[in-house]
Amino acid sequence: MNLFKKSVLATAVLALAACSGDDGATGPQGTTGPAGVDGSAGLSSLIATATLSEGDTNCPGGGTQIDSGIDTDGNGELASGEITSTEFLCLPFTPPVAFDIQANTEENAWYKAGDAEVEAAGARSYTETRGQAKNVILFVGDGMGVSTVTAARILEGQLKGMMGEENVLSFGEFPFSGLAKTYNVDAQTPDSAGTMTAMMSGVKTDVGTIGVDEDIVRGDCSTVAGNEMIGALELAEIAGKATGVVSTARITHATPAATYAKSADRNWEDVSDKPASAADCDDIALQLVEFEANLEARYPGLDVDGLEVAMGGGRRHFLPNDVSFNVERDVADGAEGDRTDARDLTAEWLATYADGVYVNTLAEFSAVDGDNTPHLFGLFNESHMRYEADRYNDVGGEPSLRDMTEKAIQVLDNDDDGFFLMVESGRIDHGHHAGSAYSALTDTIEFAEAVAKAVELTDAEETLIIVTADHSHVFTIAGYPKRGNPILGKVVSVGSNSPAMASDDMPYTTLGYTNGRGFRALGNETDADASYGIDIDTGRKDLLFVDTQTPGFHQEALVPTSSETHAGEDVGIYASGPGASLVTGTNEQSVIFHVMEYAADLIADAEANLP
Amino acid sequence: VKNFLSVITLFTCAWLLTACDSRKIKAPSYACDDLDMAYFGARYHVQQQGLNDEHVHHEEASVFTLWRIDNKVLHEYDDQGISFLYSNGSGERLISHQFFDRDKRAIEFDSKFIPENQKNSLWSQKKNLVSDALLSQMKKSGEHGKNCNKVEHLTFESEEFNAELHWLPAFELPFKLEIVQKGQHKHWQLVDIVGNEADIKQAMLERNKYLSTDFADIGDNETDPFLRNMINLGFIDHGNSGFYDSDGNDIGSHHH
Repeated sequence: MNLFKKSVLATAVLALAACSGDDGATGPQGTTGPAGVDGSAGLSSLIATATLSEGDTNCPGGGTQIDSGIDTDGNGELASGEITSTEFLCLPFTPPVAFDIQANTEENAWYKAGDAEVEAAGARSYTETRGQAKNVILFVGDGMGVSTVTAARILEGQLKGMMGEENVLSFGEFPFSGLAKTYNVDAQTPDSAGTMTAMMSGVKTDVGTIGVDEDIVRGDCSTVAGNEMIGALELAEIAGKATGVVSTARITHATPAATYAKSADRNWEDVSDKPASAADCDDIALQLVEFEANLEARYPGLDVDGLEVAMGGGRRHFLPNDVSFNVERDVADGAEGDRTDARDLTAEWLATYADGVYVNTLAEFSAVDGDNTPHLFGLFNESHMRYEADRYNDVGGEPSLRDMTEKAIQVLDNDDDGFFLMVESGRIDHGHHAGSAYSALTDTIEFAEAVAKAVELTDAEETLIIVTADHSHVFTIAGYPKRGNPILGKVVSVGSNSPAMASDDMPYTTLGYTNGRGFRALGNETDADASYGIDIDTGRKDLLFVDTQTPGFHQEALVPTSSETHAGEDVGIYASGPGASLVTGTNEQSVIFHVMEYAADLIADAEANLP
Repeated sequence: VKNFLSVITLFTCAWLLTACDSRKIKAPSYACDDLDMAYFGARYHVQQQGLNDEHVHHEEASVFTLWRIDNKVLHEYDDQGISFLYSNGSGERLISHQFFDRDKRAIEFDSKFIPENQKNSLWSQKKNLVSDALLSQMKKSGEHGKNCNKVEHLTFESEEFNAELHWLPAFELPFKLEIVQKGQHKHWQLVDIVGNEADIKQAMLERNKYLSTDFADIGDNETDPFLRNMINLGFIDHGNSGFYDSDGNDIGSHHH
């Protein structure tokens, strides 16, 4: 207020005192004359003030303008023509630094991070040389579509205490990525058999068939001969590399089976699964155990040492239908084994590989010295291995996917010629089929940990690692949840702390399914397959008092189906190591084989080893 | 069920299904010494009436057979050609197989969800049709007969439903069970005890030859016509007693 002391004068118009008339010349002292006439009245001097707003040209910070002059027209107001002087009393003002929009952009943390990534990429050589990869690891997240990767990334971040969205899964750090078109030759939305055959052999084929081309007739054993294809694992084996297959599904299930078997039907996992008409076709379990013999028979004179590693579930397909062979199941509950030919393929495997180790439990697995084990065969469940979240419930104990990946690499990297390893997280797919985002996402997180373990244990200069999915699922991330909202939770809008209501006046979850068995609230149940024991319950439910973040919550679904289904959109391919830069753009899924073949020069090396 | 039809009739009353009106049913008279409690079938005639102001507006009749096979129990729905095999497995699981006799296919899963502390109750309900929990809440009003033909008269009343049970302690099975609840009246009547060990084992052997699929694998096999049809057939796992309260809970496993 002190600054404005002069403005007290503001609106006042001050009239100066009137002037008297001029004096006459000095004359002789005369007589006192009569009184003179008064002179004319003088003119008033006026001052006017006005408040100036912030941004004024003369006072950028605001202030007061003081105009002064003579009221020549005597109207008591200071007209603009009467102003003879103007002064400004300005408030203090610090002019802003000129805004540098470019600097503002470049200094942003997001910008810097992106710039660093591109700079780093630019420093890398994009020139690939055939055969630079000594080792190849193919990771397949079964059913791990893009929405699954995103949701798992957020969940992993939130489990680490982050908001989540900014988190990066292990393979999200890989320098190269692309997309794969997943369709089968005869199916718009594919299955694992056809897609994995494409990845392993470089040839797309029909849904439900394994290691054979599209001329196959599914379920017709007689059409197998002449339509078989050789795959990357077989080429690696012939080339002298160590080979391994790891899965949390049955090791005879479609994805792992496509690495070593040829079958007109993915379901011919053991002899009891085949129709009588397929008597001349070996079941998938038998093909695993006789992999070495079958390969040598195909190329007379060839001498290979067989699969060094095979680990997963599916014990039932290797054991006779006889309770005396049970490993975990109570004898009173029936036989674990399904085989009706009385063959114990685990014993046959041990007879073939006298140096091998066969394990069923976590304790047995943990006792294996990978550096000194030439062959390792692990069957940890009679059917699929448990979901990662449910692993603690297993009677005999099961290793995690990262544990199996670590052990597999320990065994395989004993071979100086390098190795080929396929690792599948098979139960991501099953979690989705059961409508359980919790199971699918926690298995995806474990899958990412397995990838991280492989990165840790291998030399990036000589190991091509590809991470991809065989197909997607009808799994969505929907609504407008605010940043950091629990990914398994109900949608809470930006600026709100309570669930957003849909037009039916009920809350809804961020994650959901287009089809499937629908809503379940099974609390702490960690086995997603528990859903199959309950009738289908699709459509909207009132979730107001339901904890949707529990393991046993199954998301709502729209279309009732006996099981949630695959989806047909592209899936991601992530790559690091020699040959990785070949993974870019949108590709037929079968290109993955060609990337692996080029990187490790599999065909040339295999041909060099043929007798 | 045709696999089980080479039966030995173990009780002297020859019950005709058409004559299974509860008012006409006679007391059981089994030849106790010949019974093998580990292997037999209990065939029931099931009548279900929809009530509207105590007037019957809808009526259904069906045949259901409970088979005891050593430590397993098979629930067979004759009309639908579907049966469920339950095995009281280790841990908190109830192993279950679902057989579709007409298609000679099976679905299996070993992870039936059971809420905590309910496994024994559920198993008793599968094995005996009435759970231990419900049985313990019923009031005994009388009994007649002796040895394996002894029948206990039990009743239960609640806001949800009323039940009248004629219980065979030797078999741990109902001889007669009537449930009345809002809009519904169900009546189960034991009409036959059948089977012998050899026949029952052979029938199970045949079922074990069915092409079997895990529940978890159905989603990867939707191109299979049989599995596609399962959507329509349904997974009628809760069809074991057919009695439900107003919330859809199975009355047979009633507990508080």
